[in-house]
Amino acid sequence: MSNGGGQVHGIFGRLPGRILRLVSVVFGVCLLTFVLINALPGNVATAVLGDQATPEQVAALTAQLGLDEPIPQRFLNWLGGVFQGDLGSSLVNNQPVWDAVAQRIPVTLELVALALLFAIAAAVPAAVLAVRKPGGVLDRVLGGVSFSFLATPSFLLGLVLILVFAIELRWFPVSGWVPFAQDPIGNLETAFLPALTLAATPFAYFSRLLRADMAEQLTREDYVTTARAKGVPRRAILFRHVLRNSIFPMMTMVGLTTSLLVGGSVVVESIFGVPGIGLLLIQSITSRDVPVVLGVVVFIAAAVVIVNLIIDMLYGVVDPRIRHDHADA
Amino acid sequence: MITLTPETRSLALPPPARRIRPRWRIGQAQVAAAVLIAMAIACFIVPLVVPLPPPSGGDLAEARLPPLTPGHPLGTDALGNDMLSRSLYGGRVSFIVGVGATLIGLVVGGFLGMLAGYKGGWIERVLGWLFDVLLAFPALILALTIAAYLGPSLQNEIYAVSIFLIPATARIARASTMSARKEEFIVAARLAGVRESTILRRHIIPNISSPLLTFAILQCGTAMIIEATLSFLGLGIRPPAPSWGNMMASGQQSLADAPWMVLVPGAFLFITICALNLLGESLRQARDER
Repeated sequence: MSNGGGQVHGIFGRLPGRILRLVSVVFGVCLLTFVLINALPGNVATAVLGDQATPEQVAALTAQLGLDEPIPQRFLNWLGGVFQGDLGSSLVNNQPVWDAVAQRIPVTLELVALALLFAIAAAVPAAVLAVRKPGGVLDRVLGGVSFSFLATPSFLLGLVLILVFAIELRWFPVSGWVPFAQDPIGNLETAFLPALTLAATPFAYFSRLLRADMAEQLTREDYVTTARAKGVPRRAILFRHVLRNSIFPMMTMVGLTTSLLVGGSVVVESIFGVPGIGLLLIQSITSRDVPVVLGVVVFIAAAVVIVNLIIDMLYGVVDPRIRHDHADA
Repeated sequence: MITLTPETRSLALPPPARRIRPRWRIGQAQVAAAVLIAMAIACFIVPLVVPLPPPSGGDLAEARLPPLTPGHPLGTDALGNDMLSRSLYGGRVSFIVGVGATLIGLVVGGFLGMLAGYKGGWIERVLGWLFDVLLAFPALILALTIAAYLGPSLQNEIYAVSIFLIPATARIARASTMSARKEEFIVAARLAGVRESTILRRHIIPNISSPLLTFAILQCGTAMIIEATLSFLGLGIRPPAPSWGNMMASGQQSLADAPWMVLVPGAFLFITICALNLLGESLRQARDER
C-alpha cells in the first residue's frame, strides 16, 4: 500500500495519511468486534439470564439492551456512545465499562512494562555475550534457551515458575496482588513472577533478533572493519557501534511484542490472580457480560494500533535514513 | 491479438520446477520430523492398538498416583484417570486443531493474499485493510472472543484459532505473489493471453507455495499453543474429554502435591512444539541458503 506522499520530508509529513489509516483500522476493529459479538448465533439476553429465564425476562432485557433494533442501528448507537466516552455499562454490576477498564489499566500496564524491562535487560547482555563468540558455548546456550521459551505456552511457564519459586522455594506468593500505593515492596513481590512469565517470549524474540543483527553487522559492515583496522578494542566496537545500530530493529520488535504482551497478560493475570484488564476480559467472557467484553476488546486492539503507530514514528525520529521514503509494510 | 508462436510459448512455460531440495543441516530437520511422526502415531494409533485404560471414568481410589506406579506409568489425575491415556487422547485435539487451523489459514489466507497481490487496485486495498484490522487484535484475544461466542467444540476451536493465521499467511502470500508477478515467464504468459485462473494455478501457486508451506509449519506450533491456551482457560474442549490444555488447567489446583498432573501434558506439548519449530526453522534456513 503506498501512501502517495513519497516526496514528503520530515517526520510528521506522513502523519495525516497514517492517522487516516489508524482511524480506518480502529473503526474496522470496532465494527468487527461488534459484529462478532452480536451477530454470532445465540441470543445474548438468554445467554446472560441463563436457561431458566422466563420469556418476559428475556424480552425485558432484550429491550433494555436495545437488542430488538437491527444490528447496523445498534452499531451506530454504540459508536455514538463511544465518541462521547460512553462504552456502556456492565450487565453484572452496572459499573460503567470505561470505569472498570480505567481501574485496571495501571495493573496491566505495570505488568507489561516490567515484562518489557526484564526482557530487554536480559536480552541485551545475553545477545552481546553470545555474539562475542558465534557458535561458542554461550551462543548455543542462549539459542537453546530462547528456542525453549518459544515452545512453551505462557501458562505452562507460569505454572512451572509457581511450582519452583512459590511452592518449593517459597520466595514469592503463589498468587494475588498488592496495589503499589498500598505497599510498594509487596507489590513488586506479587508482580515479579507474572512479569517474569510474560517476559519469556519477548526475551526470546529480542535476544535472537539482536544476536542475528549484531552478528550480521560484525561480519558484513565496512565500519566494523575500519574500526578494527584502527585498533578500536572489540568491546568498544560491540557496545559503541554495533549495539547502537541494532537498537533500531529492536524498537520495531518492541512494538510488535506489545500485542503479544497484552494477549499474554490475559493468561498470566488469570493464573496469578492479578486484577488487570486480561482478568477482566476472562471474567466478563465467563459471565457473558457483553458490553464489558466489547469495551475491553476494542480498547485493547485500539491501544495496540496506537502504540505501533507511535513506535513507527519514533523509528523515524531516531533513524534519519528512513524519514524519506520508507515503504509501508 | 498475440498468437502463440513456438518462441512465445516457450516463454510462457514456467522455468524448470524448483523443488524444495533443502540442504539438511546436521539432521535437525529429520530428528524433528521423526519426533513429530512418533508423536502423531502415539496419539492416533497407539490407543487403538495397545490396551490402555480409558481416558475418563477412572476409579477415585486410584487418584493422584505418582508416575512410575505399576499400571500407570505416568501416574493418575485427581479423578483416578490414567495420565498416559489422557495425554495420548488429548494430543489428538492438539494435532487436529493445530493442523486443521493451519490448513484453513493456508488455504483462505493464501488465496486472499494471492488475490490481493495479483489483482492490486481496490481489491488489494480492501483486503489490506481487513488484514490490518485482524492483525490489530492480539492473536489470543481474537481467538478467545470467537471461541467464547461460538461455544466449546473441536470444530469451533479450529475456526477460532484459524482466524489469526489468515492475515499473517495472507501477507506472505501477497508479498510472494507480487514478486512472482514480475517474473518474465508470468508476464509472457499474460501477454500470450493465458487465462488468469490458469496463470494463478499453473504459475503463481507453484511459485509461492514454498515460502507459504515453510511459514505454515512455523504457524502450526503457534496454533497449538493458542489451542492449549484456549483449553486451559476453559474455552476449548471441555472435560472429561482430555486435551493437553484442560489437563493442565485441572492440574493447576493440585500443583503443590501432584505436580505431574501439569508437567506430564506440559512435556508432551513442549516436545511437540519444539519439534514443529525445529522443523520449520530448518526448512526456512534451507530455503534461505538456496
